[in-house]
Order: sequence, then structure tokens, then C-alpha cells
Amino acid sequence: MARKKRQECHEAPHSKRRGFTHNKRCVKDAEQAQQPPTTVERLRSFIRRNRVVIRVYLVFLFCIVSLFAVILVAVDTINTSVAAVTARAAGLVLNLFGTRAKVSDTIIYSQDFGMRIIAQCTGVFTMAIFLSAVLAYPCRLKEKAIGMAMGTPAIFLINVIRVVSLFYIGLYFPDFLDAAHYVFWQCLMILSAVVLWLFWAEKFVNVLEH
Amino acid sequence: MSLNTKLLVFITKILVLLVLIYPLWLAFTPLYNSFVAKVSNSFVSVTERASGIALRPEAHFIWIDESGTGPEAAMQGIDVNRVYFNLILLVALFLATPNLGLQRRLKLLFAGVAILFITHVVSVVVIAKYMYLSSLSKHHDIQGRILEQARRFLITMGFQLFPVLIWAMLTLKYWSFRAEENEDCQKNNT
Repeated sequence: MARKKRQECHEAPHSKRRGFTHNKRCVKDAEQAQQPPTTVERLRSFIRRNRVVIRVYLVFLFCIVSLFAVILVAVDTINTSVAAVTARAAGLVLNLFGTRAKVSDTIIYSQDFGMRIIAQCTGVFTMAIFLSAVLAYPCRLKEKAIGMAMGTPAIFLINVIRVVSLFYIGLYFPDFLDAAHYVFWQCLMILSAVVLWLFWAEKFVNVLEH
Repeated sequence: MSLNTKLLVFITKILVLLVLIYPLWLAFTPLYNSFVAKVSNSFVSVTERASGIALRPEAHFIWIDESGTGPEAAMQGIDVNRVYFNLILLVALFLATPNLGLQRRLKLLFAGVAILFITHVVSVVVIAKYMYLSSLSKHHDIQGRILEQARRFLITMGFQLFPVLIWAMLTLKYWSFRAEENEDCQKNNT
């Protein structure tokens, strides 16, 4: 490669720098081109090539931490009002299906089973993850607003379905309640956020590019 | 294939995989738990004084023992099912991602599991140290407060978020939704 570079230097037309100095510079450039890139150069090149993705991740992490802090500050409000709304919605659905469930504040109970809705059961943390992903994605404000307006009630609805299903599992299959609560529904909640985000990103954001 | 169909296929695959992987995960967890506890112990012993804590794995629990005392003196334990459950989700995500090819899929899965393992070690160390400080009523100092917030973050968001973040980081450039649509556009244009 160094030899080829020398030939190119010799054959370069209209070169202002000629003679020994020019050739020495060509040789030096060729030798430098032959040296493997340093770690710093490789890192710089990686950052340059992936700067958009890196920015997305940094914004996402910032939003996650910020929303988590906001939720912590407002946790009492969430524990009372949002949990109560979730409990009422789930109680309504249970009664629609014929289960005589009563709701008292954040507690849903029937004759044989009861559960209390706390902040972790309201879906606000999954909403925070979804909202962070929407805010981090590089698109217009209007598209972000559509994402937030679409995703928040969808996640609330999925959470109500979760609460109702856990109530029935606790009522009829109590042995599976732990697995359903701490394994399957934890996975399904975050999966629903991922799928909603993918749907939003492809349906509402990329349409403009096409 | 339309976007809705692709997403439906993706969700269905993951649901089926979650059900299939769960019994394997139950069988595998005690062995994995021992390994995590061993690695976590080295970090705990580095950051605690000589009369600190030791982690003892037992099936699906990690007991927090005070160093120098026997198993009967175990104070508290961590139910590791609530920590390691995200391993199932991570594996399901990698197996369900379309257009990866077997070799690449396995390589990325291995890398993903390795990164998630690190998060499990960190989680166990954070939770164990917080529980230990709480038992000594020392959780109101700076270290205790930081550990408390870290523990809360892990329980409410972290355990769900890590597998998705790792999966997204490792497979982003292979996501097929855009690639296949672009191919369709080119075919229609020609």
C-alpha cells in the first residue's frame, strides 16, 4: 500500500510541491496510513458513525432517571389516586364478568380473594419507560405527542387486564399467582411497551419519510 | 407482510417462548443462582469490613449471613425469582427477533446473557447491602439512601428494562421492519 501511495504521489499532476520534500511527505503519509488506528481513533470513529444512536440512548437514560425521580416524589399521590382509579377500573371489569368484586379505595376483594393495588401495580413505571423511549426517538414534537397520547391509555388498559387476570388466577389457581405476577406479567408489561413503541415508530413516524 | 402482521408474529413467538422457557429456567435457576452468589460475594467482601456479610445461595434464595456465624443465624434472604425472571424475557426476545441467522443469533444471545449476568450481580449486591444496613438501622446515612433508591429503581423499572435495553443495543441494526419495507419499495419502483 505504501508503494502504491508513492506511485500516486509521483504521478499526481499539477502538484505544486515537487522534488524531495514532496516525496518525503508522500512516503510519510503512506507510512501513517499503513499504521493501525489507535484506540482513541477507533473510539472517535465509532462515536462519529453512531452519534445519533448514542444520543438517543443518552436522552432515553436521562428521561428514565427524571421520570423515576418524579414518580418517587409523587409516589403518595400515585399510591392513592392512580391506584384507586386502577382498582375501580378492574372492579368494573370483574363485575361485568359476573364476579361480585367490591372496591374499597385501592383494595379489590370478593368473598374468597382480595388484592391491594400499589404504585408498582398501576403501570406508571411501564408508562415512564414507554414515554422515555418516545421522547428519546428523533422525530417531530407532533409525532412524540401522538406517541404519548396513544401509548399512555393503552398501557393503562393492558394494566387493568393484568389486574383482572391476576385476580382470577388468585381466585381459581392460587399456586400460579406468584409466577403469573412476578414472572409472566412483568415480562408482558414491558413487552407491551416495546410493541407499542415499535408500532408507533413505524406507523406514525416513518410515514413522513416514505 | 404488513407491519401489524409482523408485530403479531413477533408477539406470538415471544409468548410461546416465554411458556416454553419458563420450566427450563426453573430447573436452571439454582445453578445460576450459585454462580451469581459466588461472584456477588467477592464484591460484597471487597466493599464491606471484615465483620460484614456473606451471601449463601440455596435453591431460589440467597441468604444474607453475617460473617462468622452459622446458617441458623441467617437474617434475611432475596427471592431470586424476582431478580432473574428477566433472563426468560431476554432469551425470548433474541430467539423471536426475525432475520438474524442462527450463528449471529447465538453470538448475540451469549453476549446479551453475559451483560445481563453483570446486572444480576450488581442487583444482588445492592439489595443485599441495603437489607444488611436496614437490619442495623443504618439505612438513613448517605450510603443507605443511595442503596435504597437504587433498590427501588431496580424493583420498579430496572429488572424489566435491562433485557429490553440489552436486546435493543445488540440487535438494533438487524431489525427487519424497515429493511423489508425498503426492499418492497425498490421492487415496486423497478
